Amino acid sequence: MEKYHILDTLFEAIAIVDKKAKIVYSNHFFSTLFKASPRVIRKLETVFELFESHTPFPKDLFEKSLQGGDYVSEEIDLMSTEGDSPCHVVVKTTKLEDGNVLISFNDISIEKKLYDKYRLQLEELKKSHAQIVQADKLATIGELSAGISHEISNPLTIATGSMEILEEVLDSDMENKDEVVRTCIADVVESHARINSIILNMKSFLHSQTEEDEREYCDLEKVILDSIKFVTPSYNDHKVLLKSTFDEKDLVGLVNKVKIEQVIVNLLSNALDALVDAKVDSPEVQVEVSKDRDSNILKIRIKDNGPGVPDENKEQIFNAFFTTKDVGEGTGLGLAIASKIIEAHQGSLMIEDTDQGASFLIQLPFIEILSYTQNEMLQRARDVQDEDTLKVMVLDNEVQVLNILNKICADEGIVFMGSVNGLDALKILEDLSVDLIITDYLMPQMDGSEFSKRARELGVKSPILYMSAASNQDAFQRDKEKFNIAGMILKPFTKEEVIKAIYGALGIERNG
Amino acid sequence: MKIYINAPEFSDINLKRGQFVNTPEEADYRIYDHSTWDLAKNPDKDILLSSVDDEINILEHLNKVHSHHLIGKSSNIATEVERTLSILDQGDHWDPSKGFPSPISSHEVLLSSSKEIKNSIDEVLSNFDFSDQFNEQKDIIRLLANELLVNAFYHQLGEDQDRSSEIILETPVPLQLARNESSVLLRVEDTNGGFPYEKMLASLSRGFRDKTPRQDTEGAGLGLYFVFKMTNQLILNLKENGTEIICMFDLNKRYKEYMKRVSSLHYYTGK
Amino acid sequence: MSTSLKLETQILDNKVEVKVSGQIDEDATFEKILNIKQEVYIFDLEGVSLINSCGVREWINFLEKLPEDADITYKNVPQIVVEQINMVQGFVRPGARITSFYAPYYNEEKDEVVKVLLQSDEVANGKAPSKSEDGTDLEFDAIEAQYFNFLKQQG
Repeated sequence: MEKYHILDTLFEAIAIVDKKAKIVYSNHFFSTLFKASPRVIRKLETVFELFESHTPFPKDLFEKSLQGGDYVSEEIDLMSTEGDSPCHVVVKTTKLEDGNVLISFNDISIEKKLYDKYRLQLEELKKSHAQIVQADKLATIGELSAGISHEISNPLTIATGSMEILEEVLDSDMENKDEVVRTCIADVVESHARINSIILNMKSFLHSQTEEDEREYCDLEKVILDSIKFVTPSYNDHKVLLKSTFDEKDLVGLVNKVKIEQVIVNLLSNALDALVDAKVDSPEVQVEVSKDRDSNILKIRIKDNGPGVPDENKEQIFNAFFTTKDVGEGTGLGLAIASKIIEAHQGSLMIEDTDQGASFLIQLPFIEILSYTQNEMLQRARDVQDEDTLKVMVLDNEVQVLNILNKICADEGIVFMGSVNGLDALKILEDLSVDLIITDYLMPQMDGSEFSKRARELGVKSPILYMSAASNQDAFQRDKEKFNIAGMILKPFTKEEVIKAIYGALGIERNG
Repeated sequence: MKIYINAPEFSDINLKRGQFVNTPEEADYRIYDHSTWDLAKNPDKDILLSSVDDEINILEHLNKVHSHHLIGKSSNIATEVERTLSILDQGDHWDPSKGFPSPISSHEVLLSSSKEIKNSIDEVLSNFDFSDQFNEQKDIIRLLANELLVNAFYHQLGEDQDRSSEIILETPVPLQLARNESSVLLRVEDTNGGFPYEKMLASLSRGFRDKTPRQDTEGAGLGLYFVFKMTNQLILNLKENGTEIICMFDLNKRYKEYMKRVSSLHYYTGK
Repeated sequence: MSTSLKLETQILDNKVEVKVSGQIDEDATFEKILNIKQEVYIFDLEGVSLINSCGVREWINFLEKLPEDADITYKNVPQIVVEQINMVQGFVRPGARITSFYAPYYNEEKDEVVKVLLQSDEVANGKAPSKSEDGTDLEFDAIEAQYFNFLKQQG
């Protein structure tokens, strides 16, 4: 038909069909895209016949358009009977003034191919990264092996020598045979112990590099006090004072408890050694934990009033095998390990400039940010689509609760952001939007009502759920209208209840 | 054994044993049905056959004449009547050889503590093959076993005990689930002294009348009522120092058939 | 006896849906949901394995403690509970409704009885709705007047 000829100039496949879906006109691109010659097209009773029966052609769009109106389909794959591969298209239908229906096929095969390519490249990038990390490990092992063979040779020599002496003594008739034998055996035992400890430290060093360590929400005050307990006997023996201060209650970290304790113990031991060696008067070590809200950093500072670390060593102390101790004392791996552990926690360990003594500073990101980035990476690693991933923030001063809910969300593919402090949570909400907030009701610094009130004042629109023991219903009833609280989760809760509450509040049907 | 029958609605019953007499006075045992029950006088020897409602049977008929034997209409009614007469004639004591012959399978558990009730029931149920019965049978047996066991433990010495306490008994309570060709048997035995007929009837009657749980006693007073309504035959067999309670279920693939059946109630004293 | 009664709640807007599972017996406590005070209560009884006579009492007593004007519905009521509801008065509080329940249907071809979930409004005039399974018509396998008795009590 003449009037439609202009459509031949378009780079979009178009077919015009009558009420019975017979093609009255199709443009050049239509033929090209679906590899159907005019002859083939003429023979079709309906446009639907051109497509293989198993590809679902959106017939309903055509039917709806007959009544009037424009309709668009989702992205679908259409396989032409004349083609050899499916076309990735979006179908649009519209009714024309003459009563016919115009069907256009927007070919987005290219976009899809690009996207697939992008994902492929992302996969390759991940593989490369893994390879680099592995190579780095191997290089480090290389370094370590050199260091270790050096370190081990000494005790090994002693052990070998002692064994040779033993052999001779047992064959001889010496007078104090027994005594010599015992001394030799003791030397061998000690040498072996030393070798063992070097190997263990190496293992520990390698392990400290993994980012896959299990992390939990932990009360940092407890972690530090436990570490202090560990070194207290030695501190007492040498009459060194050990103090700790915490500038807030509920200082919580998202950490591997064992590893962090290892770091703290290491730093405290170093401090003790330094003070004892230098024979300082009134030796004292202080541990200070504080929260810097401006930079969102949790700070753990360990400082002593000893001689401090000389400037020339400051750069090297975190290197493997660097030690200022005598041969046979210390492995030189402690700070290197500690540094790697903190790095694996997305934090930093450094030595600060001070007038007197040494001051080591551990910096860790706030748990809200840390949990968000960690969990986001985790979900991305599982190939979950960005837009579909739900982000849930949970505010509760009990770390147990955070840990349980973290796990529940992780299993469901939900990105979890934990917080123990209303103020910190509000701060994050200023910059970050989440899909849902779950808040405990009874919290020491700011209760659920206060938090909700301020969140709404901030302009936070996400649904909020209260979490509380059954006896606290009144708050929910009261705040429902006031602060638009969507619902409640009763404590103690089951996994099912939490999931149902989350999806229910968001009005989402749960899959599977 | 001389039998007098005056049961017009059950005229087609074919009883094989016994000698039939024409007057009630001559008979050892008399059989009436719900239409002629007004003529009944003797609880021990008058048997009621009925095709009407459980509620009418209990509230109207049995409360009038406290017969020990109510037999509900079923496809096996003749057999049931025969068995009853045979037991009565031989000393009025129910035992499996007469009441539940030729078992095909049986599983019994002994309970000493009330805390074992749930697990014991699960155990006997899991050892039972329900494949040729309507699937609700399992749930019904679970409920009935629960009611019977709770009664066995908490009605010691006629006292109704606090249900939250744990009861431990010296003589363990058996729970049995068995089947033969035509029936399923659920059995519980207690050592709470014999369960008096009057008390049993009173409990059943209250259930039918009020249909609500009691608030004034430890128990809710609906246990026996549930059991009677949901089983085909409820048999109480008085023993030396306790009562054996047996529920019999006709083997049935169809739930409808099962529920249609009017429940039987048998009370054997073993005299 | 150990309590295996589990109450899972979903409290959103003015509704609370309680999924009840396990046994409702003399040990049953409903403390967890007593203070909720929502307007609408939906009890999902699908997971109830047994309600004995003491459990019936606990249940009835619990219902009395709920707000007088609460909208109460039951769904997915198991067959045996339907039987018990028909046997006991007061189980379904006046004004409360059962919206869905299981009923037995017989499949002649397979020679087995199956449980079919019925919506209460499918039962018109006390008649069982027709159902089929894999093309076979099913026969309602209970006595209609008896089984649907509870529907007459509904508000």
